[in-house]
Amino acid sequence: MSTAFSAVLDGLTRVPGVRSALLVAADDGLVIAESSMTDVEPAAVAALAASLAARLARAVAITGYATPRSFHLEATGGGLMAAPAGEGLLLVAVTEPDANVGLLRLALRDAAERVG
Amino acid sequence: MTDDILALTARLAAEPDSLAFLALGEALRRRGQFDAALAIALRGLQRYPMLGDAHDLVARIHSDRGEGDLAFDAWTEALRHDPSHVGARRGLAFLSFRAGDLEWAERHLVAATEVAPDDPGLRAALQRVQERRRSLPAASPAPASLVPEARGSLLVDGQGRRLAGSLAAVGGEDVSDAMAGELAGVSREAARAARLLGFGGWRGLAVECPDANLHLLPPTEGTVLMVMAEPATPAGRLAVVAERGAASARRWFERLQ
Repeated sequence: MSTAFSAVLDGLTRVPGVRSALLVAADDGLVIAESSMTDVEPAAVAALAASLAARLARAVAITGYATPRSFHLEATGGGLMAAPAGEGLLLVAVTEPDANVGLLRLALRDAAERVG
Repeated sequence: MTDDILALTARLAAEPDSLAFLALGEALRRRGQFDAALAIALRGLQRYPMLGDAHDLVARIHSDRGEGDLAFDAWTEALRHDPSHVGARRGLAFLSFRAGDLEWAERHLVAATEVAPDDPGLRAALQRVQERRRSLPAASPAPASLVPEARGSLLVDGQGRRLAGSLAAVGGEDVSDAMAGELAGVSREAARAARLLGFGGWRGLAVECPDANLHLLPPTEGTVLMVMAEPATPAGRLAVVAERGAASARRWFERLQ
């Protein structure tokens, strides 16, 4: 993993409640870089996040609005937050149920700008 | 096999890239040969996936076979590729009328008559639907009307059929049915991601776009409610609004049962 990506992902995992952070290829859902503190399978996270991002982009396109700049999937036992980061990349954070979502949203947006 | 079907079959064999499949599929449909008609229509659709008439033909065959769900999907696709397709509007109006959704039957017929104002069949159908609406007492309020803060909202079942609400695109055109189909897929994807990652059931999906914010959540198993708001609407407030809409949707379902 390059030092630049590593610094960005490590920064995300310092947000309270973030279990891991990944940089993903949006087209094929493959992991490019990761900073994981848990046993959540990075390849599965990457594939599922990319698939959901593609689905959302298609749905939003119907309305004529611009592509989403972030999404947050909230589930009973955890969540996923993701944001496009430059051409064809997706930054993804895996969260605990009680993560500080507001802080993570800002950190993710900042990280996406640094990657892009 | 009758002469016209033989002639159309020969023409399609000689020119497989032609639009002869439309006439052949229609001729077979009119004779009640639905399986053959569908096979021809689907083969044509493979060559012309963006052709509204091809989706319309598939929809009419499904409708004749009593497959309303599949007809709905195909007519919705026809409209996605050709928003002014009168046949698709007529078909969706018919399905809405049959399902008791007179409001949407009227909407589709109004849209169709705007494109074909001289069609006497359409005008008569519109008049019938409007008279029927006037004769009925007001329906139970749909959840959409209980989300007044929203720019638009849609309640959708697991098969992508709109249950309530409406949504307009940037240009003002109605995209409710097309969006309903996509939302069912998004909902399935969200549920799949949450399940496969060991997170249990999904509770919400907040989506931030430059021009709008969306919040999706499942009011009941197999349904999804989407609420769209101005981008200035704080994410937390939108989540509360959506949850209120979901509660309304649940009450609405209970009254319907």
